[in-house]
Amino acid sequence: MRSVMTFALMTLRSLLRRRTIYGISMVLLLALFGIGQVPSFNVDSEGTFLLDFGLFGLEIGALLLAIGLAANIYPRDREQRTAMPLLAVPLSRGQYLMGRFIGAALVQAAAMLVGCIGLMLILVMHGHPIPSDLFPAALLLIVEGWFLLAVVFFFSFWTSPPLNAPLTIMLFVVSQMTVLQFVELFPQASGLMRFIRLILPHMDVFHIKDPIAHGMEIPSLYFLLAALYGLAYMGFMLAVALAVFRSRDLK
Amino acid sequence: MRSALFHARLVIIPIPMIFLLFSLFSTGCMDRIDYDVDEVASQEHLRGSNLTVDQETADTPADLDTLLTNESGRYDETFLCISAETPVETAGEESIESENTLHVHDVGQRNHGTEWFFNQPWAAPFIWPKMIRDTVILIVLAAAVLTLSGILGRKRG
Repeated sequence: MRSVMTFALMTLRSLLRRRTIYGISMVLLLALFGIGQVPSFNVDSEGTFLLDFGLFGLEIGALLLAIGLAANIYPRDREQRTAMPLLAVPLSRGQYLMGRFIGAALVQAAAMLVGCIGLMLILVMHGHPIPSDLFPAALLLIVEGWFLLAVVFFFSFWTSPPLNAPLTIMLFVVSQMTVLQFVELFPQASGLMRFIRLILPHMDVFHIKDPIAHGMEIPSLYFLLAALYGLAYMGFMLAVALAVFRSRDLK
Repeated sequence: MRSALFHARLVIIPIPMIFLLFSLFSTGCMDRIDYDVDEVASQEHLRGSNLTVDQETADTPADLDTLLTNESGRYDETFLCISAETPVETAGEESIESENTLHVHDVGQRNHGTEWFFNQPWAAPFIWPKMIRDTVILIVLAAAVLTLSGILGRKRG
């Protein structure tokens, strides 16, 4: 565990040296600032609009961050041949994956928290109250980001970085669909489509921006269940990623 | 001997996991395995929207009255909650209202316009057990994948 944490901190430092994280964070904060600048014309629902678009922007930001952070880690290690000495002695493949993942997950969580604080500042600047459910919502956004990060790691072990991004985005889009919408994509094989949809994640469990924006209370139990679901799916994706990584020949 | 033990482990370890998975599937909380709120929602969950649609298809005041009245001839509590959705008509606007079917809904109430809102997982507690079921299945699957890939990796190594 100690070696994993040391490697995770190394990953954290290397990711913070890259410009990707700052670029995406800047775009995210600029988007939030832009949402705050949309004239409200004294409409009562301005706070709803800010929260709705702000949380939507953060969700898209989580997707972009996951791709920006993790899509290049393993391909770069392999190309620069830094993976081989690491895996030869000090780290197993599982430890390598966990170290890289924890490092990227810390950066992702920090960026999401900064985005959430930015959204809160915009709400305060416009004289709107901060909903109490915004903190648990930020937690769910972080879990969603970690899940997407695990998906990007999974794809990075068997595809090239240019293919990783569209595959992750496609999974993100498809996972938002309901069963009926998904079956309608190819109704001739509805049984097969239902089976595929069953395996795909239900990312709609992370959608809580609507009740928060409309001031509705969400049961605390739901936050817990959704977070556990996201963490379980993240664990499953990491397990599959590790299985693929273990089968790869690095020579 | 060692090779035989290795192959035995390959077969023995996944069996309880597969058994556990099947038993979890068979004890599903709903008839359908997957959880699409549109598909698995009970009549109770959908009540607001269905009644609203019925009410909107009622053409005459007599139809509405029949709809809102139960067998004993009294207005039912459930129906009363949607009575606020009747067209808002004022003396000067009657002609406009009848053309546009403009009506008012109570805030936070499920109706034909807010169906999408209430068909999200946070608002449908009857699918939460399915989320727990999927969480358990995913953890079991992750353990199975890790174990199998570890065994196969050691075999290759």
